[in-house]
Amino acid sequence: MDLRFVTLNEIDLDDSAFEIRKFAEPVRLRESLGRLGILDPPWLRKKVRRLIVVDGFQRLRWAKENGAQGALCRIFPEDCGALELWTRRIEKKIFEREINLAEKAQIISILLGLFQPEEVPRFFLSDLNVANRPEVLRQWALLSARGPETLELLGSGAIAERAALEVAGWDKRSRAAVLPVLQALRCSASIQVEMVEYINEIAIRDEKVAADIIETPHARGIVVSKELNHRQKTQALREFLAELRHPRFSSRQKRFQREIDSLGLPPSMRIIPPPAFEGNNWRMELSFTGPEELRRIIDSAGSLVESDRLDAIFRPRLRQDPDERS
Amino acid sequence: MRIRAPKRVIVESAVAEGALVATLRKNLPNASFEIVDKISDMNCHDPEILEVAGFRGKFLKSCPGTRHYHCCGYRILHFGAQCSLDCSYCILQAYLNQPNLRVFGNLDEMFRELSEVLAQNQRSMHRIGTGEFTDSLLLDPFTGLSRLLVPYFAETPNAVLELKTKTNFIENLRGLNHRGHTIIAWSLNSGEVRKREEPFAATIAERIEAARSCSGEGYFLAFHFDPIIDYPGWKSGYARTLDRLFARVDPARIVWISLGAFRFMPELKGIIRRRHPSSRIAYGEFIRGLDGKMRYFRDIRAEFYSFMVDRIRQADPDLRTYLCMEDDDIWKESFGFSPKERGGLSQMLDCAVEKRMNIGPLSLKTGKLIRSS
Repeated sequence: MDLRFVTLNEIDLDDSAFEIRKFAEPVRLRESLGRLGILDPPWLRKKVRRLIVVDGFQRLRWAKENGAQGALCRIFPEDCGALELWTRRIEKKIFEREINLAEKAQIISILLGLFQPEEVPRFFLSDLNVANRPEVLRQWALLSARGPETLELLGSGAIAERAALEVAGWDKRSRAAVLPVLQALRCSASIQVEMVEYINEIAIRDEKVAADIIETPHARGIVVSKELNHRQKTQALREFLAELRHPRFSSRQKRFQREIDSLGLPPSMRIIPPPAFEGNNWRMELSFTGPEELRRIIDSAGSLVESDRLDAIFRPRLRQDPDERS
Repeated sequence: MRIRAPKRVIVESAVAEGALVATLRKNLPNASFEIVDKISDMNCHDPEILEVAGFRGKFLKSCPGTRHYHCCGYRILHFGAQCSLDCSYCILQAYLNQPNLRVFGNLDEMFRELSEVLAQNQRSMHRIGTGEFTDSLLLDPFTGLSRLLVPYFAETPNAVLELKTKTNFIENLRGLNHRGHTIIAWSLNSGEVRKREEPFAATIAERIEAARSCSGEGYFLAFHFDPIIDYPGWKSGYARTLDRLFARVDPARIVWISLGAFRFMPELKGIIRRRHPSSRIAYGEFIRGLDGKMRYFRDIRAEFYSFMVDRIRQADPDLRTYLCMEDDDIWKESFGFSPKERGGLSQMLDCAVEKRMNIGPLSLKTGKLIRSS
């Protein structure tokens, strides 16, 4: 491998066979190049009479834009195979400070082109923090194949990794409908995953595609609302999706709330049902400042505890034992 | 229905000379038999393989109930594992290290343990079944195990055997001297669920015809609507199955019917998604139950059960119907009482055995049946 000064005329900058695009503006890199120039020599490989770029696309483009004659480069011989070059290129890439999801998807796709899914070197996957399972690798490759619009969204850093993988298998319309919403809401990774999973499961259950769910008038109304900020939109959309996903549970929650409201409990007293109304571990929460307030709350709640309305909350529908009917 | 005969039988040397392997050699003339010291765990399923291993644990196990929900108190006779029916909801898919069909060849030890347990607890009623880790009759055409189990239980005064299946493989049961100690049970579902989620099992009509045939042989019957699945039109689907059942089978021959809404370990969701991508059963309205399993939201379960209980009571108000792994609230909502008020679910099922089958624990003094109150 030679290390020598190469003029830009010797390099075919249009050959992007080895490019892993960032799908995001390399602002930090350009700022560094502006101050200090090229510190790390780009990698080139001989191809017939010219040289093609293996690593350093952004640096060399910057050099050309800024009228540089050339740069100090490492040059691989023409007989250096694609497997060896890609292996070195990926090894170097994954040591970069931050690889975005678009790059990660491309790297895994390249690895799957070089190796069988079961034979991808483990150190690559562990450095990339990717599970060593063929189906996961295929999902990443699918993501990489989803075209520049999807990759730009991934490159922007606005889409969480698990949410991105979840949408990898979706149809084009659904990806185009959901990913910009996630980007606009700027919500956490866990909320993105929750929303994407809800959308997916509702769509499968109702035999629709994900776009049908997020494009319902109610969901659209939330997303384009001018009154709500992004946090309020996120919350409203989560509630809407949760209700669609769990209609019976949501309706029971609403009914419970109505019944509790009709009881007229003091504001410092709460009745808390078991999680998902499963089992009979109900709780009551009291908040008070001292013994006098506690006595006052308990006195005022006494008549409520005797009320039939309280029973209704606990026993929604009792059936008659047939043995007692006779 | 038909089952593909195993082409390769892998046998552990310790059980190679046993009766089970001899029967398999006779019933599987085209299969190759391979003797190994120990069958190692495998990570990929081969439907053509049948493994015959020596089982080193306890053959009799308690039904894996939890303290949060009422359990039937049934005991499992563990004679084999895995199933090739490949139902989308089956938990056996999660047993990844032993994916192949397996039966245990040390039958002498199994019967010895069974005899010891039954002799030690003569004042108890024993309800014993084999359909927890495999289908009770799936491999019966090859193993002929029912021809050993049924006559054995015929001689046990305080025990009944329940063979639970989704097949119609009942040929071996014909002509056996069961003395009314064996219940042949079918897992039933709506026709739509059968078609989508258990396509390799016998059709509902085939199962009901098999039940009718067994009833003609004097066997008592049981049915398990488990898992009940929520889908649009579930009421008419399940009503149709119940109507078909009661049109062909005399309810007086049915010892019990159990009802269980679909529930699953959370890990199963990913497996269903991967192995049965067209199935929608994992996308119902599930919540995490007190035992950690995913269950339909309680109001949905209560609606299932109330509907089913009403329909069953119309056919036979005295037919013992019970819920598998449900709590007091759901019982009360579905039946109007909880098992505790009737001495517990186990006691209720023992009573059903006594009333319908006239079998119960014996008095040590008189040697006669101890009648439940």
